[in-house]
Amino acid sequence: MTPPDPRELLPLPPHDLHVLLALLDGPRHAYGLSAAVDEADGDVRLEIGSLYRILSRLTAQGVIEDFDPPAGAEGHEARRRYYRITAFGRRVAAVEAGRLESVVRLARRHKLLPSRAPR
Amino acid sequence: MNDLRDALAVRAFRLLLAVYPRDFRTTYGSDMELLFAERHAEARRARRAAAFCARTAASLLSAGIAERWAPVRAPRHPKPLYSRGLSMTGTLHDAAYALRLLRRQRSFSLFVVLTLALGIGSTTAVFSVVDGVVLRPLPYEESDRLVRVWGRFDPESGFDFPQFSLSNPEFLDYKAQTRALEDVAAFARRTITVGGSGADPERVAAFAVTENLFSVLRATPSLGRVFSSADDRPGASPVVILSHDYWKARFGGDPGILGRTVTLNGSPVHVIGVMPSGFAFPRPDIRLWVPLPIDPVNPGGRSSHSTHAIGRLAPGVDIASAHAELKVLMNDWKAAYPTVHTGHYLFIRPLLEDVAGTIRPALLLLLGATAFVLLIVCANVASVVLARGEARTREMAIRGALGAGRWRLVRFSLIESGILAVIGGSLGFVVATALVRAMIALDPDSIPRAAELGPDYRMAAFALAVSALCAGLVGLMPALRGARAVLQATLREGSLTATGTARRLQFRRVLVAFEVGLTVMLLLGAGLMLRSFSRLSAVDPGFRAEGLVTANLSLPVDAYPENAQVETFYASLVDRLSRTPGVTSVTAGTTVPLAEGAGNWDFEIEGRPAPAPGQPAWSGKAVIVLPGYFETLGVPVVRGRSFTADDHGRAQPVAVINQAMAARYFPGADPIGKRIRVAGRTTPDSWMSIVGISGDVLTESLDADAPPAYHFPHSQLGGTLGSTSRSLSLLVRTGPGTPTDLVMPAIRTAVRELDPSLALSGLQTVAAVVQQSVARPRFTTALLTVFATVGLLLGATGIYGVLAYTVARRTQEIGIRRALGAQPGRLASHMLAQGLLPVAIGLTVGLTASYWAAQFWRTQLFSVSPADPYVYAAVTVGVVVVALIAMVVPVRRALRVSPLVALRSE
Repeated sequence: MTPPDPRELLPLPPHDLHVLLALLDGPRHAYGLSAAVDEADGDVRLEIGSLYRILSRLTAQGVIEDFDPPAGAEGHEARRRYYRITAFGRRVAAVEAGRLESVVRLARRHKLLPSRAPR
Repeated sequence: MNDLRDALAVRAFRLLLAVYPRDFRTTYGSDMELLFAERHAEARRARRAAAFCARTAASLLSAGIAERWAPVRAPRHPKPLYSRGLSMTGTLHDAAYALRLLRRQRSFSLFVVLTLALGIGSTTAVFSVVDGVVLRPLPYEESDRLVRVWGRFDPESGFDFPQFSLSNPEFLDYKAQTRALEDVAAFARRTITVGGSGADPERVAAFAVTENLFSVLRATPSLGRVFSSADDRPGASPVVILSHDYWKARFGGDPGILGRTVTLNGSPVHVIGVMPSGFAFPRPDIRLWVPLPIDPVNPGGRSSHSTHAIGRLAPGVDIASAHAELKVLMNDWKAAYPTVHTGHYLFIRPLLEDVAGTIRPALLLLLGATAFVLLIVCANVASVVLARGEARTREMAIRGALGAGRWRLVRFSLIESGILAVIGGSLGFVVATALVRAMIALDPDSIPRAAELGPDYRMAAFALAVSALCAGLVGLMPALRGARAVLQATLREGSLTATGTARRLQFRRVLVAFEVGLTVMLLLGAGLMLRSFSRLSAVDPGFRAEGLVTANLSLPVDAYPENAQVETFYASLVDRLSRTPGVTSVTAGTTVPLAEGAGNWDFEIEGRPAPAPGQPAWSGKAVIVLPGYFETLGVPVVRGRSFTADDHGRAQPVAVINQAMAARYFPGADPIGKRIRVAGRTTPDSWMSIVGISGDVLTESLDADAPPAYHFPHSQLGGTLGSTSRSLSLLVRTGPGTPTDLVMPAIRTAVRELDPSLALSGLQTVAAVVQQSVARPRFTTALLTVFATVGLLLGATGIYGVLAYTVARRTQEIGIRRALGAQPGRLASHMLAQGLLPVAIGLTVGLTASYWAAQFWRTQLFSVSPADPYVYAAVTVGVVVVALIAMVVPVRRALRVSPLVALRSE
């Protein structure tokens, strides 16, 4: 069976990449995830309803995986879900970032975005 | 207020989650809820709750619908982390947590487990006895078809015996005439001296039975055979069947026992069978069965009631038909034998009721008492659990805020109380086993079927059920009452507010009132029983029991064929014993008062025509005595004289009647000088002149009237009875300085010196006999008193606990009052009054309920009214005093606290 090609998943739906980016630093739980995304880009608001659809989709695609909380957790901590990015997910994120970069280059050529030359 | 919104928000969220498809919900629902709770809290802090909720609702709706339209098909998580309801992980997790908590709070857990063990143990023990005695079927095949046949004497007959034995003719007639019973067997008590075979001769309990008894009971022997019709005929070769225990004890379980000869009452008898272990009809102490030959041609007097009977209902016949048939038969008998059957008739009763019937009310009473104790225990434990619940308020609150619904909290509470109840219940089962043994040992004769009692699976099942009930009661109470209050009151940071705890305190005070009410009922019951028992014990039996020793002797006819030999033997024995140091007087008679019953014999009065048909026959207790009987017993002779040595065989036969007989048969006239004789005697020298009237003696039982009785000398039996009496009970009175123990060996020695082959039975003090006669009421009273005391102690603990807690909570308030100048005296009386209020309520309710319920067990009380004012007053005073004592310590402690310290606390 051939390993899945990350390019098959492109383009990623709107906020998926933000989620992946937030998970690049390490695994997070849902609250931490939405907080990290909020912090990274204040314009992106992950509502609960849509966030979990994203998580569900990413899990189904093998981009992220969820796992049980670390041993020793007590109370409601013991019931949280933690999510982390998979190796495949890293490749997907990289490929998507690459795609976005080529779009940005195109936008720069058309003067939509300022060029990166120092002023 | 906000907490309400929180709860509402979570509810609304859950509702909206339903938009998502089920798979999605199962996988992510719990996590989403968690996230919502956290972000909601965050939003509220930023005062953006409304906007947040609106956005969330919108996103839920849209994403949910989108998901339904185009599901992403996330892999279903095999193990949802959070689920409502009975999930094993959730329950196990809670259980582990609960165990850890309980281990940390050792004193609390210990207290709860011990009190639960006490309550569950006592209830299970009494249930086990009730079950084993009253509920379980007897150990015979189809035992519900077995009926005992009894005779009854209504007052119309001149007597009042609700239950009496039958005569042989009555038995034979019933056996022949009944169709409702497939067979009827008879049995009669015998005391037999088993001699020879190396061991000492001993007198044992035995029964003579007709050969069909074993077939009626459907019992088969473990060795050999049972009786056949050949053994029943008069003149048949003597045979005996041994009980299993006796075969082991006396004959060492010898497998070759069949065909061996044993000596019974001096004669050789063949052993033809051994019954299996556990078979002991009709009494547990039976050692052997011998045949009961009833000659159909000459069965004996119709009024000579010395036989018992048992029958088995014919297949397909119910007991109502048997009753109806018996009624018809009795009408026939009354027509045929009017003298005998006026006011006297047979009746049948199922065997189980016969065995267990008399003790059933007492046992049910005890069961009720233990149920009360159990309720008190539960109330105490619930109260303690409630108090402890407040310490874990914050934790409960956070759980609640994070979405642990009420069910979850209740479930945790149930798991906790379940663990305590399981431990308490297991301990209680052990306690119950010990208690059952103690109850049997307290009075073995009081509990029928005692040999069948013991730990078994029914008892374990009951203990389990009671434990579950306790767990439910104790677990639900705090959870239902406290959970909601806890959530609302403590999500606010900081102190425990008044609302939740005040409500819980109120509930605990209700529990106290409840406990007090139950304790009052227990105390009243015990108090009435105690009063009744002391009245019963104080009844004057009509003779002096202290310092009196008795023993039963029987002379075998083979060794003492002549009447003169019997008289000589007893005379020598009396003479020998009189000369023993410490002995004041010696006599003998056929009756020891309050021991096994004496026979009722019909008599005639000279010069009076015998009772006409339809009139009751004249009958009285016939007591054959040696000289000095009345003096030794301490019975006064109120008129005339008692017997002397001059009343011997060649002198005029005499008799002494008691006051009851004089009043009934010689009303208004002087009986002295009149003559009576035993019915059926015809010789002129059978007339006895009445020479004295003796005081009444309670020969049957302390709570029944003295029956009419006539006494006549052993030495004159040749004329008055035509035959001597070989069995007599010795009565030996010791002097004031001599303990009765010293005399007993002397009696044995004297008998052995006169005839080593004779065996004594029933060697005991008469005081012990009297004690034995009130054994059943003493048993019930003792147990009831124990339960009442336990209830009182638990109630006092409960009151103390609640009041100590109240006072501790109000330390600050008390400090303020003291600082403002309030008098300690007034504070104290205020607190006491507050504490006494639930006690007063409980007292009133308990007294009223007891008064109403006491009507139902009037039968257990002897000459005490169920509304006895002394007992009621004593219980009221007692409860108030105990409550005050329980309150003294916390109140004093509160007052001693310095106002400054009090103000600073909390």
